[in-house]
Amino acid sequence: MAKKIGFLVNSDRCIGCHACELACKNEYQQEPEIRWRKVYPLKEDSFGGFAREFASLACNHCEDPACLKACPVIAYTKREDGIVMHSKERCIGCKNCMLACPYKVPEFNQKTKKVEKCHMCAARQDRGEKPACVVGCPMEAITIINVNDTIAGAERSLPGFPNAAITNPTTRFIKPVVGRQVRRDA
Amino acid sequence: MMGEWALVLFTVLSQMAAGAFVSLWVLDTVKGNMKEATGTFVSQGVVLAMGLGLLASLGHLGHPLEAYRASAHFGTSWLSREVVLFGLFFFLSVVYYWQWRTGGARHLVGISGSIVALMAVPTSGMVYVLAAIPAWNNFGPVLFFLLTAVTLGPLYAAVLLTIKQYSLGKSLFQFVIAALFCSFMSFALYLSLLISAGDVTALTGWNTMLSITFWLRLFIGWIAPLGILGYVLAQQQWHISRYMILAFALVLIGELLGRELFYGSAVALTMFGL
Amino acid sequence: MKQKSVVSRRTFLKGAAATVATVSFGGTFFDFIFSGLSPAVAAENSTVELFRNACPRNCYDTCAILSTVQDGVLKKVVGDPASTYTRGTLCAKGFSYTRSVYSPDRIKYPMRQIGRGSGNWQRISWDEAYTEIAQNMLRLKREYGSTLPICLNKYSGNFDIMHYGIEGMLTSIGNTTRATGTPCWPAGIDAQTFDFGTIVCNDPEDIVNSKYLIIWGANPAWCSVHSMYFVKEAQQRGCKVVVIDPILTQTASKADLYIQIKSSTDGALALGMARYILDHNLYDGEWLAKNSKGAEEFFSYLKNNITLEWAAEKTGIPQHIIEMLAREYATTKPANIWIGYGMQRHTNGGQNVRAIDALAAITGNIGKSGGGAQYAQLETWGFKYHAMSQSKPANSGGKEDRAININNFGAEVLNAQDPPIKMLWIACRGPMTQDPETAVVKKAFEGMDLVVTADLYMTPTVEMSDIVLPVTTAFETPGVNVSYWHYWLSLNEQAIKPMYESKNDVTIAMELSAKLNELEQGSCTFPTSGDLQEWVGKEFSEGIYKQFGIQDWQELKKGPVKAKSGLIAWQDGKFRTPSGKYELWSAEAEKYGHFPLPVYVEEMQSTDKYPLRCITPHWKLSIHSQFQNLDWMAAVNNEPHIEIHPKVAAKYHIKDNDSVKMFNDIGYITLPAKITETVSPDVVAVYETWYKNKKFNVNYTVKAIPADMGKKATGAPGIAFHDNFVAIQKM
Repeated sequence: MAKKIGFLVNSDRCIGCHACELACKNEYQQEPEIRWRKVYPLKEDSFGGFAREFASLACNHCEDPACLKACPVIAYTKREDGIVMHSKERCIGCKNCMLACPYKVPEFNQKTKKVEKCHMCAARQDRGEKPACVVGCPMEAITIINVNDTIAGAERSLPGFPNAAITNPTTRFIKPVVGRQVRRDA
Repeated sequence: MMGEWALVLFTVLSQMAAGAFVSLWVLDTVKGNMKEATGTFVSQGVVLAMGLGLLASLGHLGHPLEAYRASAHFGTSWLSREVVLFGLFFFLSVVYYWQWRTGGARHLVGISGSIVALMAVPTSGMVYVLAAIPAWNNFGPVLFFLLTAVTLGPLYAAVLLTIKQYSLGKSLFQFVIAALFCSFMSFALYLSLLISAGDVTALTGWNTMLSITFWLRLFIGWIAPLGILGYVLAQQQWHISRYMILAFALVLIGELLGRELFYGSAVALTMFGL
Repeated sequence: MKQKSVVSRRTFLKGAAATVATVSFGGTFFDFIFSGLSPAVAAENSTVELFRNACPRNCYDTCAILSTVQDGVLKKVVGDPASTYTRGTLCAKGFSYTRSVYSPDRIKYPMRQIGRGSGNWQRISWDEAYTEIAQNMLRLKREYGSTLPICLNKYSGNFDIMHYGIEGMLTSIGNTTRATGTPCWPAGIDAQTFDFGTIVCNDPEDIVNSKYLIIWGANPAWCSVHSMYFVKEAQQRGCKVVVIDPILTQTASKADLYIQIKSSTDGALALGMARYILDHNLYDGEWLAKNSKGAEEFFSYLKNNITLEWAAEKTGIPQHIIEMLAREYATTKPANIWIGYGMQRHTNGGQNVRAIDALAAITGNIGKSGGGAQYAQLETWGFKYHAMSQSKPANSGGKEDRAININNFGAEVLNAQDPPIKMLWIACRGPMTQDPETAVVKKAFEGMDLVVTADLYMTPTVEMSDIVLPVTTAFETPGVNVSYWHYWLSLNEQAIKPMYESKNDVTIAMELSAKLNELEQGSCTFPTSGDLQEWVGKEFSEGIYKQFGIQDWQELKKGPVKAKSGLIAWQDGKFRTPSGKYELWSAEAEKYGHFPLPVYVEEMQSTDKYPLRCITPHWKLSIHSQFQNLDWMAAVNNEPHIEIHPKVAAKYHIKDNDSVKMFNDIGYITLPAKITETVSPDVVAVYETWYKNKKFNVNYTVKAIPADMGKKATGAPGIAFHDNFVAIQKM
């Protein structure tokens, strides 16, 4: 089967430092309010005990992308390796994809008046390099995986993630494991 | 979604135009006594409304001059389908106007336009039926858009007809009253369904109920026009023309408010509660 | 009569179909021809260069950076993979550097404020700036007979070695007043100085060899992200990671065991553990006999004064947990402790560090790979300090430099007499946002004849100055950097030209010297010209060359270099104490007014009026007043908040995001609440930093309470930042 790639977000290794977010912005020198990758705080009681845990998400490069279907000008295409590409040239800034995406991925750029989103650093990957977020993470918490592989511990969702059945994202997660905690709650 | 004036205007005006077109065609076909000058005037009004609506829709785009490309994805995009169908409807409404004006055969144009109109409105609604927005992921958008067409459309046509001193019978207004009542009841049902669904869906329900816009819309768009129309129609000697413009204005304002509410109150699925 | 229709039925149908077809497919066809998905390609004749830079911030990680410059513009920065510590990654702050260089908020040229604090800034030329500064300096010298009324407050905003030229600049005009000491870590430095002779830590990359690691009052997930890689690696190799912290921090969330200790009682925990270790014969008597002084006295103290019940009560940690911790720490080899700077920001901070050091000593974990009591090291800082080493001009007046306590800056400036302080030079520092007792600091600024601040942005400190001099970022000037944690040496190359009219602080010193000598020959000895790259070269000493195994500093252009020796602290067993041994019993400590043994000193208590302890740790998106002000950072988070336990919130009827006033007898702040179980009911947490255009400054409530230690090694005691007691109310 052809290689279909996706992000593996290891929230156990993740320390919520936001380096990945800024590594992406740094790579593309983006407008301040544009955040292709966002580090989301998870509810602190999501994994037993209490903990500061995070999920770093950019585009989920879905198997059944809602953005692609909704776009009236066919500005989205899905590559053979699974990357969902958005064409700035074709985009007319109608924002229909922003409505359709369950993950709030496409963002509207006020300067260009078009939508933009993470393209998994397709150009970098085509050159044999890894995406900027993958390289930039001090904890190696984001990796590119072959979605067809079985990866131990990989899950399709984390608590609070929109229903994966809607668009079948290729992003996989590794849940954080919270250790033993001795807290003073009196 | 923030207040999207462009889409509010486009959807309300296009639905009004669609409903008015169908009303005109029905009256023309059923009554058959309409003067050409009257029909021309009304169909011109339809073209005007639809044209303004299309212009308004451009205001929503980042690159309005490239809007012509928006028909490209007819296969999967409801937005493309809406563009094609309303484009076609606009074309047909221009032809219909032309036929009225020149006295040409208008039966085929009239029926095609009505069919396209009745297809186009639900298509607009389908653009918003998205799993990503639970409050819209139901019968709501299509039904409410259709209801706008069948309440505002006939009223708009009636105003235009009254200006041309066309004498209207009660049936149009009885129809509008019924449609307004359906609109009101279905929205109440919809709200209660939202609130009982819980989570982000309920949030939409509460956002709506707690906003002043909702209460204004309720009174201006439903209660007041229902009251006026009901009162007038209950009279033995009824003179609707006096109240025509008022009823229309109330429903129009109500629909604009309601549509603004629709866009402004929807809450999308959250990412981990954010 | 009806006109013949212009459009026949058939024609109409054909036309309609054609319209649909044309519109749908023509649009698409037209589309495909004229648009595409080809990625942008760089223009043919653009030049791309790579430079080596180093992050000069006050941070454990001091990253080696690779900068991409295209046509003279800094395009992006990445971590240098050549450093096995940086490992090719940066942190959120590091990745935002292009935004720091090109921020629209950069101060572009020297400016003069008409009316300090008025906001009425006028552009002036460098010559005008130098003239006014020099004239004031010479006037003060004439009026007071010396340059002592001129005071320098400079610290950690930029730790590039050549920036010690700022101190050199002040020396070169005569005897001056210096804000002496360090706010952040001196209590722990003194503690380790008493115990070991000085601060030395293991190479942090050695953490992977630990089998037990206690991170004690440190939050590397926010403050040393690169270390967390090694912590995780250690975990994967079977190391148990224990985090002890009053707050369930980001780091604590990654621990195998988290212990929420009562603030400032860390010494009690350590001593309780030591008592257990003693009782169960888990100590390394052999190591102690060979390497330590005072073990007998220490054990005697434990036996007579420390019980586990007491420790449990003091720390709020159940006794069986303390016992388990002690047993595990003492029996797992090698066991490591990372002592955080946050932990020692208390009135008994230094004493607590001594107690923790003692744990490492009695279990024989010192001087071993994977073991130790890590705090910091200055072993890699053995430069010439050429830029700093200037001579004082003859007849400049006064006998010697005057030291005032940097940790009580406002009050000491106001109190200075014979002569008073009349001029401030602020560089690499932000007293108006970072010092305790902001109101007093402001008053001190107000009493000055002239305040000069060298800075990048319009910070609250600059807002209270008369003249602001725009300085260069690390990308616009050469330099050299080392870390107080890892053992790498990184050259900082000049990647781009200085932005606008900004200058390196050493350039400012040279040009100011020229102006001073122009007005009064011989009034300043600082060289009036010189190539900055040569200046950098002159910082290198034989010691540095030997330590890093290089012949010439230019070799660093090929990449950062790691020290070749001394990577495991105290491996040679040659402690630098007076006795040459690890001193559990320290006469030096006694000399400085402390207990000779690492006994427990009572922690500061809350009062009925101010029952909550407000801990003010570093923020994850900033280094003190740097970075949070950048627009990229503001897009991630642009609001300070106060973390409150749900029980406390309920008591004051506070809900999430409610506006809360936090106050005590010296000041208050107002900010939104974040209800969380990650603080304990006796603690609230507010993260210190500067938000552009926000009135937030937690230091309005922080008093300049001294920590117990710091005077020996740094000239002044530290600040008990985390002994800040407050009350809260819902607004």
